[in-house]
Amino acid sequence: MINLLASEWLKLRSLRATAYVLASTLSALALTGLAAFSVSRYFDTHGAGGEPVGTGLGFSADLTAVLFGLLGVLAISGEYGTGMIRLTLITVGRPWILLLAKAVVVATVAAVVGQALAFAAYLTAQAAVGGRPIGASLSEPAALSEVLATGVGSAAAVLGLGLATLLRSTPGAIVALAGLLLAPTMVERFLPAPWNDWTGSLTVPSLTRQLGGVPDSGAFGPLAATMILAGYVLLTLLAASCAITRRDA
Amino acid sequence: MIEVLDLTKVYGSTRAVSGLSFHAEPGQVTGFLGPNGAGKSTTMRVILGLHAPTSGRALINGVAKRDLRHPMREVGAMLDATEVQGGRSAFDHLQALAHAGGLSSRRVVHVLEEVGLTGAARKRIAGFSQGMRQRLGIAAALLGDPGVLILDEPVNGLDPDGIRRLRALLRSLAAEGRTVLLSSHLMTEISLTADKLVIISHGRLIEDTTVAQLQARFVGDVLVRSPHATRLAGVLEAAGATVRRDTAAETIPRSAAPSAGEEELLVTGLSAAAIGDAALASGCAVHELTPRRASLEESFLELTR
Repeated sequence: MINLLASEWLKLRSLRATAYVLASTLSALALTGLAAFSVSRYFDTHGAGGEPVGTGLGFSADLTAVLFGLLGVLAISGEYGTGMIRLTLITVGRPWILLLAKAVVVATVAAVVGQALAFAAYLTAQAAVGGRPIGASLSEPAALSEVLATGVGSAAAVLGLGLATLLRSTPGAIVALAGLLLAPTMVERFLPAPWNDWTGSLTVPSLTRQLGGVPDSGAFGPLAATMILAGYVLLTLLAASCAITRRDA
Repeated sequence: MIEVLDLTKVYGSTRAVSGLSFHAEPGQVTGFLGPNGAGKSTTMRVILGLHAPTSGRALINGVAKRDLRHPMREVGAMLDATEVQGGRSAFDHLQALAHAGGLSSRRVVHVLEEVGLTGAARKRIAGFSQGMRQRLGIAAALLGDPGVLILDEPVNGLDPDGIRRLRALLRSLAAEGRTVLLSSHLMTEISLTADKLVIISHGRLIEDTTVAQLQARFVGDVLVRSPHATRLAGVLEAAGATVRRDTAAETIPRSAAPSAGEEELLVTGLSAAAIGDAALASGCAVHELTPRRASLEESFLELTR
């Protein structure tokens, strides 16, 4: 297993696409800064009536979820696209071990980069807010736990890996990933209460906030949110594992 | 040792391989031969555990590929050299495979040297020519120093020097006691490298033989050019030979066209020496006496028709 982790880590970092995707997550900082700045301007002209900026992480949560998911997609879709998956499978004993190794590597990279990005986004938002009373201080437990949860939640990038394994196609996996991550947010508008709240609470970015115990972030508590999020990941990996084992490569 | 036992593989309504059985023994290069679409690649994929057989079994050293404890140390394969991610350098590509098999970087350096890619090791594979990719594929197959090698059409895209080097490499690998299974759709190519031939067509076994046996079975005839053809034909037939005189339908490589008064005979059942002796004894002049051997390519076409 250690051998396969070393192999997959080398594969991930020796492709330029990985660097491009990780670099593109920096766009979350620009988005956060812009949104926080615009909310601050509203506060200056209208006073304390609108939504506060808070940690500022909510502004880019959907974007980073898709981009980290893309990291998971690319960890295997390139191998399916080129056919290299056959060479890879010849070198490993059981296909599911390969999938597990890829999942661990993707989740670790996403969590580490996601954590750094979460802190950077938080600091960007607070810089834009300046001294106005619409930000959030890390000394507030809810703010710190939201930042930490956002980092941990990036590990949901593994969903992309599972989808790409099931669909064996880069574009297909990207569409499925974006749909899965964003569709509930769109659907929720058309549903009556309390369905809209439940549906909206089931998206990965929302679950991440609930995992951090952010007030008013959704229908579930931290424990339930963790279990649902872990359930998504495990279910996808299980399905992908069955597919890669049973299917002719 | 590779054993294919009553293997059948069906894709939807297509029967790609049908009740195929053969062995590839250690110490030999086994040529796996068949026209395009005969089922060679399918069989190799089943042997390598990539495709599940519909029925029957394929074993490497007595076990199914997926049950091998250290797959890379037991079997190395090259199926399609174009199936690599071009964004990586050749070294990183092989190093990632080496990591997966728990092999040291020294093996990577060694196989790169063996296939002559040391100079290009740090270049991205995307810039490689077809021949370089082919050599990289062979390097990947050799990486784990495996006892069993499976190569699907390895000479494709190689230049003459590369082909010569590959042949020598495969011969030496077999001489070291390894099992080498080599597929091709070209009989002439494979007959220069292989000891044993497994010929398939439409997913079925046609021949499990050796190059020498196959050549012996398809012994040709003797071309005789003589001004006394009619009399000579009678003499030879009396000696037990079969003589054909309708040479017009044959495409015969000739040193010279028959001149006026001469006729050509195609004789089977007697050696050139016996024909010459019979001609002398009967007083018939002979202007040409050429033993013809059916080429392996022709016998292959005949077998797989």
